Amino acid sequence: MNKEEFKKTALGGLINNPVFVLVLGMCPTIAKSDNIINALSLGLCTAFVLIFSNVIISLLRKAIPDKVHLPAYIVIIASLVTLVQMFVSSFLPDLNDSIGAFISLITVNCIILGRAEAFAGKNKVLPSLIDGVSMGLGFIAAITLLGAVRQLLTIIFGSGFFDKTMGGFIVLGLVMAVFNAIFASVKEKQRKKTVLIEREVA
Amino acid sequence: MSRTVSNALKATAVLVIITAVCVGALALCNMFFPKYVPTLDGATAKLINEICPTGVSDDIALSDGYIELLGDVDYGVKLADYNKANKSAKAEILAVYRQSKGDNAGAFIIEAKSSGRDGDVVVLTAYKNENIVGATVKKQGESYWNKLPTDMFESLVGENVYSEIDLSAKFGKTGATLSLTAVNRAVNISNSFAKEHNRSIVKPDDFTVYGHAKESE
Repeated sequence: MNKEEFKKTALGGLINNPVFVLVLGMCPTIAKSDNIINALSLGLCTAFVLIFSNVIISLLRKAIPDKVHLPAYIVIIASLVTLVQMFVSSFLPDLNDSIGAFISLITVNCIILGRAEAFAGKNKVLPSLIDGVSMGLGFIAAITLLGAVRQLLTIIFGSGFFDKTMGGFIVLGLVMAVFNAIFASVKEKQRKKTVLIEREVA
Repeated sequence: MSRTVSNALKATAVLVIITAVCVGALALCNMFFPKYVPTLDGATAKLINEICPTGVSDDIALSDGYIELLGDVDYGVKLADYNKANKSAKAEILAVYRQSKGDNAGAFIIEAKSSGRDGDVVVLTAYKNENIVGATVKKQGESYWNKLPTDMFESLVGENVYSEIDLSAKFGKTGATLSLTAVNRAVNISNSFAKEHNRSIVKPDDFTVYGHAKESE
């Protein structure tokens, strides 16, 4: 893995943010970002599964025949989700009451299966670990930001809209728009800088 | 053996091995996670005192043994086995308490849980003379709980343990169907348990030593 590849993989969670850019895993993102604690907790659970599923799938990528790779991935992901659920229900019962139903749904979260299929199944362990950490952090940051904004708006305007699904959609759209606008402007500045450097060199 | 058959067998074998390893790892982890242990705490004693009054304050009811937590030997069945055998009920019995003295001596209270919309709903149902004398919720985190009828638990009072409770039929559409179903399941499994183990839970002493229960019969 060279420096350029490392940089690309490590920044994957920002450049290809699973929520704001790839628009994956929307169901739990909207359903459980009604407050910052739920959002952060679900983000951490998802990141744990994402990191470990990436590592395990990467380790087994040569042993898993192509024809059964999807069921094999699902079994691995579902086992990790079950482990997380057992941990949360045993040690964090209050958290289990608030996000328990959505922990099971991590199994079918597109982000995890997507990264397994697109990255971990084709790459070595270290790059897959970096990809898992990067995407996991990207997801945690996105869902926590959404949770914080929704909770703030709920405090200001009262409950009944921003803590419900319809409010979640609107806030997600707005935050996504701001994120992409900032990101596009940064990219544009970088492009202009590169063009200037190239001209000077020429 | 053709190559296709060989590939198919290999794929199946790999899938079986992965599944077996995952199941084994989960079973191993499960051994180290703590299991639910019911306890009779102040909050539970307060709720029991509300639905099945002892005639004394919550603190005295708890400290002086008016309410006691029963164990598997008291009702003659292991709760884990009972819940395993009744998996189709989609609800579990968590604990059984008994009022051993006070205004409702001989009454027993069953704590049961079922999955609602946003997690488990834990319900306490009090029984005396094979009838429900009170019920309440111990724990819930349901988003639409306030949409449930306010007299939902009161409507259960007087129901017999042999009756099948159907809260959906009683209240129709509430806007909190999953929460209502969870309560319904929890009460029905409590009813089934009470029906089967009523004789074991209610000791003859309850009706002779503490006069109240005998008088109320």
